[in-house]
Amino acid sequence: MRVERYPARSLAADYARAAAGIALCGALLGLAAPARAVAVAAAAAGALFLLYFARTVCRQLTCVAWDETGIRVRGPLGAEIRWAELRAMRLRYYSTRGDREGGWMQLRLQDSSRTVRIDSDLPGFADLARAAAAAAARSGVELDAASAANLRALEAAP
Amino acid sequence: MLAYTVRRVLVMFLTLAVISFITFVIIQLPPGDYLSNQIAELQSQGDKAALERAAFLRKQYGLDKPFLEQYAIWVGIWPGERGFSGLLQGDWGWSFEHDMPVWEVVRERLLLSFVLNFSVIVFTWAVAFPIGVYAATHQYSWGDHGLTLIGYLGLATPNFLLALVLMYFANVQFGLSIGGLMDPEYLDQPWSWAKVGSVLSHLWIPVIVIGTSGTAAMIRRLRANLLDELQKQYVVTARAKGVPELRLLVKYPLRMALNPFIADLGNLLPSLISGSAIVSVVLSLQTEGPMLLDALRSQDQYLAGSFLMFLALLTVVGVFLSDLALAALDPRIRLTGRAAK
Repeated sequence: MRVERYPARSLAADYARAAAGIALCGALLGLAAPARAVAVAAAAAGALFLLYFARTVCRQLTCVAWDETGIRVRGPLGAEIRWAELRAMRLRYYSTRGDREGGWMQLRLQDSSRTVRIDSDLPGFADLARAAAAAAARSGVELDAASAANLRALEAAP
Repeated sequence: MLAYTVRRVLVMFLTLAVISFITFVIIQLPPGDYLSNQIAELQSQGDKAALERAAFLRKQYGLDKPFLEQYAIWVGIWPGERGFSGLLQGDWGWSFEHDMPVWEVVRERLLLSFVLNFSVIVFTWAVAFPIGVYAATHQYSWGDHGLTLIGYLGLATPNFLLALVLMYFANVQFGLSIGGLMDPEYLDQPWSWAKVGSVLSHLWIPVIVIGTSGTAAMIRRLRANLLDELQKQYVVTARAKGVPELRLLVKYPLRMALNPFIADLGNLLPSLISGSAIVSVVLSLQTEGPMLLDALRSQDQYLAGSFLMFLALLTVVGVFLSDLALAALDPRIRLTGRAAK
């Protein structure tokens, strides 16, 4: 069984982003007495950054383990999915750059009732995606075009 | 999507901050300002009351303060004479040329600008979309060649020339007044059905003039994108499996061919407010474009700066929304064979 946690460096970057956003929105709302439209936008953005902060805390407390039988995520949003019960798989790629380089991937696995989301920051992500793709192929789970293309790019297609 | 949205919001904040600074630097670059010129003129005429008012405005808007302080007051992150009172607080400043708040000047022209530019966008999409799809699905047919020729004519015709020709044609054939978005008697009148009718009767000229080149360009791009998609293996496979042509076209190739246009949606928001300034000048339209040109010419710094910042905000928000749409519709990596980090 392979067990991995999100690395401190990626967590620190996420905390920094959340803190920067919360500080910016807080300063705007608290110090500058903005117009109503600006205040609403800043409050919405602030809520988004708070959510992101909570998500980062969850990621810090999360431990992902997988083997040939399935995947177990221990932590605040923990879940366990057996490969044999895999019902859906999605692999998404996101990048904020215009040339779409330097991005990250997110793997979403679902059985009949639970969903697991894993980001590509996790060490061994390609191996996990490979195992999930193989399980999806065995179970006859159909992948959408974007997931199939991303799997090929990750060299994780079965 | 949460991580993506958060990162994009941070990028958006940073972009707006940089744009606001650059905008302020640019509008401050020419020597002097509107009030300095006015004061010099009034001094030569000896108008004391107007001089006092100019001095009051100079103090009120911090024009006598250092550059960075002026910038911070303008944005609203530093208190001026009236406390925090800048863009963030909804105070766009004072238009010295129009002698009224900037927002009032902009608001007067906002509705007509929106109606005109929205009509242009609808015209562009309504004409270009079916033609582009037809040209791609009937490649090298007589129809494709004919539409391509018309497209090139649209691209090659200067807008201002088309504007002059159409104005003459509309005046001679339909008796419409030359230029403007309504008959002269409705200018400065409150809105009525007769005024709406007059606007609608004049609207088609600027819509065709402004929309022609955009329509031609969109036809060419849609045709090229769709042809690329139609030649891919999945289309050949689907066709071999007997998927009906229309369903095959709509389900994947058309969606994929539209992705570049979704990416362009970001530019739609600002163009809704301020599209085609030159054509608006030629056609004497009461829209935002000519107002911005006048403000830049006369160094009406708050009108020019605040309006440019408004356009920048619309652009950045538009790009943000189109990026979110693209991330949701097409979350694929482009670099085949290269792993994510």
